[in-house]
Amino acid sequence: MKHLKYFPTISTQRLKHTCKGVAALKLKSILQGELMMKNSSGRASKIPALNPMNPGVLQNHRTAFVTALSGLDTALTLEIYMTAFPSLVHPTKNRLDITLFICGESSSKTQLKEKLIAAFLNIKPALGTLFPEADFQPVTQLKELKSLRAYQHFKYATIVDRKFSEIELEFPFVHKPIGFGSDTGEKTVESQKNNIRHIFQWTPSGSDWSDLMGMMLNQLDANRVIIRLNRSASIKHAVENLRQTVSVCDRFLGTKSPEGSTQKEQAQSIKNQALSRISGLMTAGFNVGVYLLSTNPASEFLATILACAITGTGSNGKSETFWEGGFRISKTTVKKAVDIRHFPDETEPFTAVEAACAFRLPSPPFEEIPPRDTGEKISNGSVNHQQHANRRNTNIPWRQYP
Amino acid sequence: MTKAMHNAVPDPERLEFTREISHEDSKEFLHGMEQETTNNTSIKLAMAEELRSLGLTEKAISRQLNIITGRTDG
Repeated sequence: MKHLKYFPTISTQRLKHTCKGVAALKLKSILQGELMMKNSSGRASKIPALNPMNPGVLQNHRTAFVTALSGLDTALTLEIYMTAFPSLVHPTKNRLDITLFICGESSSKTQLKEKLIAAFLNIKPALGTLFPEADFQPVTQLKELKSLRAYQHFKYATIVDRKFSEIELEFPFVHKPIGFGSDTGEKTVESQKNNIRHIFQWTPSGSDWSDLMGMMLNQLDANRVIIRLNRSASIKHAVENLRQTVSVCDRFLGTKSPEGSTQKEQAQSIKNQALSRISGLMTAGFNVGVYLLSTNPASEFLATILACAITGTGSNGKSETFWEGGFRISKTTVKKAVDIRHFPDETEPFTAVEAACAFRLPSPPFEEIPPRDTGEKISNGSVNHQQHANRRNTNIPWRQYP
Repeated sequence: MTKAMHNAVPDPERLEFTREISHEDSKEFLHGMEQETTNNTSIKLAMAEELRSLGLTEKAISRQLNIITGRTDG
């Protein structure tokens, strides 16, 4: 009998002043949503919180997982690779690999290995508890680990990031005597402008990511989504900036001008956003990077689908959501996109709720899928099922039995 | 004797019975614990072997798995 290994293999690379290492857990199968419902004790209940397929419940689990990661060692970075291998000849042979990597950097190789193993020992039970539908197994072969990290055939990289804008709050003119003018009785009229750098927080999209996976598998060539996360070191600085934003908004709201009620409403909304970010960052703060690697430059559409799968767009016409959601897409190099220490903006940490919008797994597929046993058994005993009739098949092994 | 005081007086038979049960229970519990610890230790020793092959030091293995490996580094 083949001995099943408990720990993943570790690949290390000695650089000039440091040592890099990586270990991985690969998604072997995912339980169908239908079966998740059947096996749930709350299946007969009408209480939405007991429904394991409720998008809110799934999102809560994702947030809980990311919050648990606030205990992650600062030398470590986590990455989710979602790689699609479309097959033009046989669409039924489309493949989608989902892997969670634990990466790290340290001056000592032995210290780094211990940190990776310690992280694995913490992450494995959290995955099993919070994502019971997903069956993650450690990658035990070095060759497989290296092939999962390979990126040489990708030529283009795109970043999906949060939107930000410099907002100028209207402020009444103040007459202030300054400099020589004050001595002569002349008064200088100065326009005092309050500029605020506002980050549009990501909000859960509510998407099950089936659209994203479908889009990835309908490309001409292989493509990969990288979602990177580590603990932020600039929480204090970010909170200080946010406090300043709140105080600027307060000052603006405190003015008695009857004009500009719309601006005041906006200032109130921005202030509420800033307060919610302060509250979130007081629990935990993360650096998050979302990248799309492709072999052709026509990946703008896919990047937009990816962004919409991550966050709500804030364009539902409600004034409360005007200052949140949305995204920014920009180009980068493949080299930067695969660098474990690269993040688009390290000065603006993400809250756990925001990070969980991106650092997550696809929801268990929740369609009425007529199971079709192809007879093709996969290593772990699961069976391929035909996906939706008008969609290409993937060979993510949807698990038939829990 | 008030009703409350009456309730507070222990029933010797009942006490004896409870003592016997808890003694048996604790014996069984300890036996179960021992068995579980032995099982866990044997699994942990196999895990230690795996970690050794990955290049972790004996100290690191002891720390991570909470066992005494009986070996020393170097």
